[in-house]
Amino acid sequence: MAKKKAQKRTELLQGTLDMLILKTLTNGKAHGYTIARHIQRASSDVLVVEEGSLYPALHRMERRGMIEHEWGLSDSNRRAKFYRLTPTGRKQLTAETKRWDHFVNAISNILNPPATEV
Amino acid sequence: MSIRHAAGELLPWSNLRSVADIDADIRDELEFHLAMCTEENVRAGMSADEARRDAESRFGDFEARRRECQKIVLGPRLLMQRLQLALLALLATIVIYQAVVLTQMRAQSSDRIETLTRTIQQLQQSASHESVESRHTMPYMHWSPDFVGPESIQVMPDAEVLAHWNNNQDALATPWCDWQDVAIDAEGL
Repeated sequence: MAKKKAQKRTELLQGTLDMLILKTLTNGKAHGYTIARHIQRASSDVLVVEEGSLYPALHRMERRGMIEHEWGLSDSNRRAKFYRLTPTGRKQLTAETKRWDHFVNAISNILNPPATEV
Repeated sequence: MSIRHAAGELLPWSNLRSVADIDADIRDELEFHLAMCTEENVRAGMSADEARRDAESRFGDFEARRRECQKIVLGPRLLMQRLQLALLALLATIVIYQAVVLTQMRAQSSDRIETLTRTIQQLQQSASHESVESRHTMPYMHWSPDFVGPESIQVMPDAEVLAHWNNNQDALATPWCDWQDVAIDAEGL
């Protein structure tokens, strides 16, 4: 039972990470390191991506066709793998964002119920 | 989903890149991340060694992550490889089983052929060496309905049969496959 709960929590976090990666890539192609730092900075250091877990997520998303990659040179002139969003990924992001908004609204309604309803 | 991506998903073996190449790319990608983190730490004032150690500790188990990525990228190919190995193992088992059965059958057949050949040779030799008199002493089993009980089967010479036997002395000298051609007087029997 506890294992099932932990699995659900992991799935939620994984889904959230996928959404954050997709959102980051709407700004253009980026390698894993940039994606991790962007998420950290954009969330004012509240969300810190576990660096090692970012790459399996990127590969999994690429296999699902949400993102694709190409090799290029980084700013420091190193060979780097750049990811970019695919049309499938864009659709997925829209769907995930909607789902997330519903989720946040639901939580928000519970924590701050409207004054008319008690 | 692009056509290339879909083809890669449906036909994983169509991806001609070797496993070593894919593994090298994964390793390069993860190493790039560590290098960037190390540079960031150095810029923040850490020594090179300290910066690398910090980057590695923040990254976690490098080899475990590399294997995880490899499993994801090579997933369908690994599945196909396992399937192919299982089929090959099955085929090899069938071939070995058939070979063993064939060998056993061949051994049994050669034993039977040898026994038959020996028997035929012995019969041919005995037919060529035995005298007519010795062949006269061959017992002849004759059953008569007039007798009841164990004594109903009696060993008794039959003059007509012996006469027929004597008239066909070359019968056993003839190869067995030609025995059907030996003239036997059925009425005489």
